[in-house]
Amino acid sequence: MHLIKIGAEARIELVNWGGITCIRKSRIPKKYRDPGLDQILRSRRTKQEAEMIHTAKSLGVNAPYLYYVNPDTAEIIMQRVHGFHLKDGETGKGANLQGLYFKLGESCARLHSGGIVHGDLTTKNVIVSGDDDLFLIDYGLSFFSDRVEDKAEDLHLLKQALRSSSPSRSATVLFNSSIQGYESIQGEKKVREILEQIAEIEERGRYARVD
Amino acid sequence: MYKAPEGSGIHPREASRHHSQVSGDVIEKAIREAGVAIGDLDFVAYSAGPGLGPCLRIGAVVARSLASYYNKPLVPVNHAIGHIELGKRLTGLEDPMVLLISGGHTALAGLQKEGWRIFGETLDLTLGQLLDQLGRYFGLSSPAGPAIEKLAATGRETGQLISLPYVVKGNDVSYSGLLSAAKELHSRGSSREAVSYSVQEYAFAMLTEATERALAFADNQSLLVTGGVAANQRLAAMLNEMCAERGVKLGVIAKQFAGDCGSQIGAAGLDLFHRGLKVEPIYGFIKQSWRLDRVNLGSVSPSG
Repeated sequence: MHLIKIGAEARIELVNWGGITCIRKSRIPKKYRDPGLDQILRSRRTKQEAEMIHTAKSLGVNAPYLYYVNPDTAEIIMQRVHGFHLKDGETGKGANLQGLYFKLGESCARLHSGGIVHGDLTTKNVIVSGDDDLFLIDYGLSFFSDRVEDKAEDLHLLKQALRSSSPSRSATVLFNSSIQGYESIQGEKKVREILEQIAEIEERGRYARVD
Repeated sequence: MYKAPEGSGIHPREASRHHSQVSGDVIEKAIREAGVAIGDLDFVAYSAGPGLGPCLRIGAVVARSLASYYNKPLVPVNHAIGHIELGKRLTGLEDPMVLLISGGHTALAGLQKEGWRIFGETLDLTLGQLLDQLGRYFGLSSPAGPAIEKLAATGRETGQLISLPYVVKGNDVSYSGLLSAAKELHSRGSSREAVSYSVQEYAFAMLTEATERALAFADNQSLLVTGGVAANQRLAAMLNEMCAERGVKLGVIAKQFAGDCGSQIGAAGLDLFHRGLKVEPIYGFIKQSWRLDRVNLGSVSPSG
């Protein structure tokens, strides 16, 4: 067992599961809240995340294989996806990056078409595996929604993540690649709606302007 | 202080009328207790927003009149920054993540080079509004927060936690569903104590979770809690527990300075004045909606 990280909500470890190295995600009990509430939240979220991953796959999005789900102990044991984080790819592959971001847009569109909002679509939650296969991981903040505002938030977060880690010109180019990928699945009308909503979110100034 | 009639909130026109009637006496009393003369003052600071238009206007007019009559610089202050500056002064925390919780605000903010950045906030009601509206629904007078806290403490003894909507989206919280459900519970027969206890446990847990996420995201080692609801002991205890587990230093503003007070405007005004930021009385302004992340750090004019 090898601890990878402890986030705000869960502990991520590498474990040996029947001879395979897997990821165990355990939601940590929080002492500050009522124990009954704590158990309900951790259990509910474990089930929800497992459900989301399953539904994502049925929509054609690559997501980790689930080996074991226990809502009572709030544990999920899932496939360890090999590859590099899209975030780290920024310094690497150059010309291929646009293709990868196009695929990311496609994957996001597929999720949205099934009414799933990822909720944490940053480049550290996208793993490029093998033959440029894109895996979307960490569905801990995912939820079901058909609202344009929620879908726009997904892409807005991606835009923010790009902006804060890349020089502004490449951030724009890469984001546009994602938008094109999204459009290829969802169509022009939906994309325009989302772009307008993103503009409104930015206008509202929820996040401080960096430009 | 303006007191709203039981079961209702602050009426802007009535409150502003009250402010214009008492401002002269309040200022005179403050000057006398400080043992100075108006001529000794270095500057006049006032809350320029956000807040209720009519009330802000009275404050601005009084400040502007004083400043121009006594020939003193005028320093317009953002109300939220007032809470934050006073909190920083009193707790000694230097660069904390800020949890600002009051009737007018529920936000997690951090100071960056370009300005204040909001890491998380309420998607609808502020925590102060949630508690106050629940209290008003119970027929209590506004601000009802302290009364709800008392009811909740009693409810806690019976240990009867009732299930309510828990809504956290990333670093944001949403309280409107919680309020509706709470009112429904009470109308169906649950006691005020049990409902208050449950509302607090749920609302505070939601906020503590959002705060923990923001702290992890920003990798901040200290947390400042300020604004009226910082006076709630149960919330402070929850945040204390979370911070202790994370090894984060917690600073909660002292109870008597948590709610709206002149000191917060003075504290922020002092900071601005020392940086040479002031205006001619003729340029005094108010801004009813003035988001923290739209405050221009380099000047006293409203931006955005």
